[in-house]
Amino acid sequence: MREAMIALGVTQWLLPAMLIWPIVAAAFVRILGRDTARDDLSAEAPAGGPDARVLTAAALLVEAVMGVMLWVSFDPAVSGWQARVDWPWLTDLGAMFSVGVDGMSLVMVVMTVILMPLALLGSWKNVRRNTASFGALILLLTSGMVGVFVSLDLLLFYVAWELMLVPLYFLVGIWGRPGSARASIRYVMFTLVGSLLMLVAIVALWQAGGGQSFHIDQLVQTDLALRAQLLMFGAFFMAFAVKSALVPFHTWLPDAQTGAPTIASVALGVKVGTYAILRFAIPLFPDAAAHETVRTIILALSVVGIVYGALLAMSQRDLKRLISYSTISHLGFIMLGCFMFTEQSVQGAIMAMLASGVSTSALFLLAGMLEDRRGSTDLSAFGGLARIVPLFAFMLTLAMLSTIGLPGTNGFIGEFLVLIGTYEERPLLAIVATSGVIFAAIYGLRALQDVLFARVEQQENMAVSDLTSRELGIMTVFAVAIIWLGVAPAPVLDRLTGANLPTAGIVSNDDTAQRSVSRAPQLVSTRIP
Amino acid sequence: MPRSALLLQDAGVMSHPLDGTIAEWMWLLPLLPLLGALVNGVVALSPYFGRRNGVDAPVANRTIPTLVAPGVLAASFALAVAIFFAMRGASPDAPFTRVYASWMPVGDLVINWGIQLDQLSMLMTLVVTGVGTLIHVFSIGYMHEDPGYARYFAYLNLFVAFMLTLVLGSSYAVMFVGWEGVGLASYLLIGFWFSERANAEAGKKAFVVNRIGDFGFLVAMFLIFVTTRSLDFTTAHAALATLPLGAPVLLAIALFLFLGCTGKSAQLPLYIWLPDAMAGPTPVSALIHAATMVTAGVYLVARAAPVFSNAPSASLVVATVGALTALFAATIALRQWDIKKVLAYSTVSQLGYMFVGVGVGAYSAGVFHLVTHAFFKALLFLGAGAVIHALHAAYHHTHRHEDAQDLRNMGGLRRYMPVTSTLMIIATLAIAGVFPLSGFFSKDEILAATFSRAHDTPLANATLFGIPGSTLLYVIYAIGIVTALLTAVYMTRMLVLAFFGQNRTGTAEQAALHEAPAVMTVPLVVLGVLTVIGGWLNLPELLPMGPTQLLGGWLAPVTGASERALEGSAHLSHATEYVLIGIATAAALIGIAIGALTNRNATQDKASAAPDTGIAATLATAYGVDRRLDAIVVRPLNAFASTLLGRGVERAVDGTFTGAGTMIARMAGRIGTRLQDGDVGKYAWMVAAGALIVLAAMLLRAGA
Repeated sequence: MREAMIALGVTQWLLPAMLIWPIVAAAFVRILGRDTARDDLSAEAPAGGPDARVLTAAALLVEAVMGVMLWVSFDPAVSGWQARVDWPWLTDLGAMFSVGVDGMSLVMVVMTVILMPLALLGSWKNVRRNTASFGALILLLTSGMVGVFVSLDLLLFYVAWELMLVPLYFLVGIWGRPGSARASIRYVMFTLVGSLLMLVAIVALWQAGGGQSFHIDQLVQTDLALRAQLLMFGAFFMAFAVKSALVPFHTWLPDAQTGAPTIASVALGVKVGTYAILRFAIPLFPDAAAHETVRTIILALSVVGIVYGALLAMSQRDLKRLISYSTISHLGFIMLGCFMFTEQSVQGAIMAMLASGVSTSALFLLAGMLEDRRGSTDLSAFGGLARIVPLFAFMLTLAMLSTIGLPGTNGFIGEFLVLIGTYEERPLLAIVATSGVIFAAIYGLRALQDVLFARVEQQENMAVSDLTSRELGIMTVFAVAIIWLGVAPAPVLDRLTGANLPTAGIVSNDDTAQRSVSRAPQLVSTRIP
Repeated sequence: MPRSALLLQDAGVMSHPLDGTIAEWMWLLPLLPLLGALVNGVVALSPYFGRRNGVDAPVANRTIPTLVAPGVLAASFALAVAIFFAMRGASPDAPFTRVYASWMPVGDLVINWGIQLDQLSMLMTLVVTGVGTLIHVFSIGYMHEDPGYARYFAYLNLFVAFMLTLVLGSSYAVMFVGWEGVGLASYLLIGFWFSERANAEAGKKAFVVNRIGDFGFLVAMFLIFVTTRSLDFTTAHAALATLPLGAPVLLAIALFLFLGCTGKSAQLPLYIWLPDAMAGPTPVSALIHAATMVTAGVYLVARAAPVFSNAPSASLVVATVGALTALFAATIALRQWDIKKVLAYSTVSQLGYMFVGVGVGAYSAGVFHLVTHAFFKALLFLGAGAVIHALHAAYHHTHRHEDAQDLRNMGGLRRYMPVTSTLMIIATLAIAGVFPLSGFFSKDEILAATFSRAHDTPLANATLFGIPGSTLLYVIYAIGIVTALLTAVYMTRMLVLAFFGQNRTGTAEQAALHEAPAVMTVPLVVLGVLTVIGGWLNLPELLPMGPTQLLGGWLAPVTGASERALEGSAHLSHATEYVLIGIATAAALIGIAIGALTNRNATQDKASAAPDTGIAATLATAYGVDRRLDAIVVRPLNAFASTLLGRGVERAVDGTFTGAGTMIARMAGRIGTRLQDGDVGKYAWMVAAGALIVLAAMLLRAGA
């Protein structure tokens, strides 16, 4: 299969196509797509061509098919970039349109492009006005996310990063709950400040590297003094920490995620920030990342985030806010794993990003389904739904169990690997982080309790309908992914093994890894001879 | 080739006497119940099987669950028996291990889906599938009227699948899947009747408290991995065995593992969930909260015997906590009115005994008590279930809303339920420790082992918080005797209040009281037989009424070395043993007499009984632990999370960023206004200054 793909030359065009296709499709959807609101009003005969949502979904499905092709054509035994394409771009500056994937970006990009059509189909009736613009923005957003994951050129990466920001601003502000305009402005303010800092650092790095190239493979070879590294790392890290909502830069996330339309909540949960930390911030500035003070602060913030996010999730009254705070807790695990620099911790962090993408998305979709039916996600508005909507109850329970890290689900793998990779060097941090599983059980089961169990006390809940067959189909995909990634994550882990990950002690042909090896602190092993 | 595939090839290089035998099919043991859970789950959820307007509609299909759920259990049990005979024939010294798939291969961390079959996991499998089958059959009758019939069996099958994963897993990691999985099944079954908020709350409490224990299990795994680079039982234990006796890391591993045990097996201080867990259907209480899941902690200590026996202080902790729990729970059981609560506290207490056994290094004795307890406690719970079933039907008949579980509403049931009451009498005598019933032998073995190890053994020479081990062991022995007496008292009280004296159920209800149907009584009878003959599994050499020490010999390849390590030169003369047996028997008989004499004249039903006062009230409310925990831990934690963090810190953090942002925006605005005030002269100056700066920068760069 893989040989066939390569023989057909698929890898020569696949990644650029995945970047460009959604942008082209966005234009088509905006111009040709018919606004669903017209049908609802039935003021006039449907006009303006095919339903915009159908067009959007079709375009996203094409993108997902390309994602699957990418997965198939990837050779897990080879380390380094694959499906790489270099096109000249801004040649004066040395910027290239350079894209490629290794195991880590492969996993993230495939997850994202599969997630997006599912999220759209799973929240089909969530957005009913200006659907042509809505669909176009969704497609632009998809292109931005794909770009973030596959760009090897920092300038291209920056463009993709901002391309992601703009659609989300409109998606939250226009199609969100009433009053979510403030949330979307806060989101933009928070992330824009971060990304502008990053732009300054990118230019500085480009200049320090001789002004020849923005390519990651070139820039990692730049010799930088520790002071310069610390400053640039700080700028990069701020951009990514804000975007990934590390405590204390997290306060924009619950507002944005709660107010956003379902698909935007899902997109906000995709871990682009921590990906960028692993891909760019740590390999480009290894001395800064391994700097004792810097690292200790980040590790401490991560562990605080685990417990803080879980405690706040415990006390939320709104299901969407509860889910949002649970992702802040998960982010703590991910960040902890990224900065422990062990194979287990870093691969665990990526598994946790994957799990967060799958399970949190499933939860937001389910919460969205609830909101579409009842007009609210306030926990006190429910109760006893397990008897009324058993299929929904089953899916919510499964997704929640995955979120609280039940072994056998995908949520367990990442947390377990991060913690086991942390324990050796920082046992105390690992132990505090592990206590997060207790609080997770409290908030997770509380949500189930309030929504599903006890008596049905509000009459409106008696009439809530169970999952439609379309919703059931979508949620079944998530259920299968939750179990499959929990029981057999080896295919993913195999691909991560060959990836360029910032881990100590891993032997790789890539300069990125080697440099961080030499600079990361040597771990003291208590291994028995 | 993917690395995960390469790893698989390492397994199974050495030949083993069970190669090619029926034992190769052992992967079916957990898979069959899992398949049953899937089938029953589909029946419960799918509208094609009669579900209408929500789950549990009364028209739901019953035939498929009735056949499938007990069917898969019986099949698993049959397979287990076949494997048992193969194993008995081969009598292997080493565990039979098979790796089926790679789970988490990351760097030097290699975790596989593997099964380890040895004499200990074999025994546990037989108990789980055997008792499990009986309880599934009993459930057909008990749950017959319940609209959630299919869902119930789906959960019950799921539980067995996870329990077998726990027992058979070849590494700590796989065991942990079962460990948390049974917790999930337990959560679902405790809250099975979730329409009552209290039931769902009880399920949640069980899961959360268990998670505290699981936290310990996780940390223990991290410690094991960083010390040995493996989580497989064989590899890790071999590496740990090279550490010196009582090494700090061994102590830490053992104590964190034991924290896990206190959660799952309801020991001090994490026992609090088990009494509440009685909110689940009674067969669930019998299977999960008495016979199997709650004994997982005992199994874990026995499984990790090489660790615990190498850390005598940790073993002393296990024994001490076990003894204190046994006594503590037994006192509470003295004054419970809910028949299931009596049995729940009794279970906590008996689990304490088992931990005394494995704590003093008498692993086979602890496991022996685990097995006999599975028989008689399952019998007691199912008997109680039959009683509750009867009372429930009677009250249903007369449309009265009385408590069908309260002992004060029972009395004289012997006349209405002869089979059940006879079996309950047998089970009560067994748990009280009356010769020659199974409980007598297993309890006696634990007490004798405790007494014998109190002199000149590694345990006796170790210390705990400065207390010499030998003193501690004598105290534990004494506590064991007192607990045995209390056990006899509260069990006899329960028996007398329920089955003897005059009936207090109600005059109209008496007509409706009747014996349970055969589908329920037959499993009871089987358990009754096992309760009587269970002692023959491991007769002491002192009383050779048949082959002695069968169980000890069977487990020797697994726990024998660890047992000998802690046993040292401990030995009891026959004379001493006779005295010990005499003391234990006397305690039992005195207890039975006290229990019978103090409760024979009960006449008042629940509605007319005076409320408990004084010490009785303290015991009836279980020392008010739940109330205090709520006041000291639960409420402050919630207040901390919602008020201090949610309203305070969170808003302060948000305010800081928003405020700083606003301030910067205002300042920028002001500067901007000043700069662009229309003064063309100022603009010119600025252009010039800018040009100068650029020029200077270029010059400096060229110079450098």
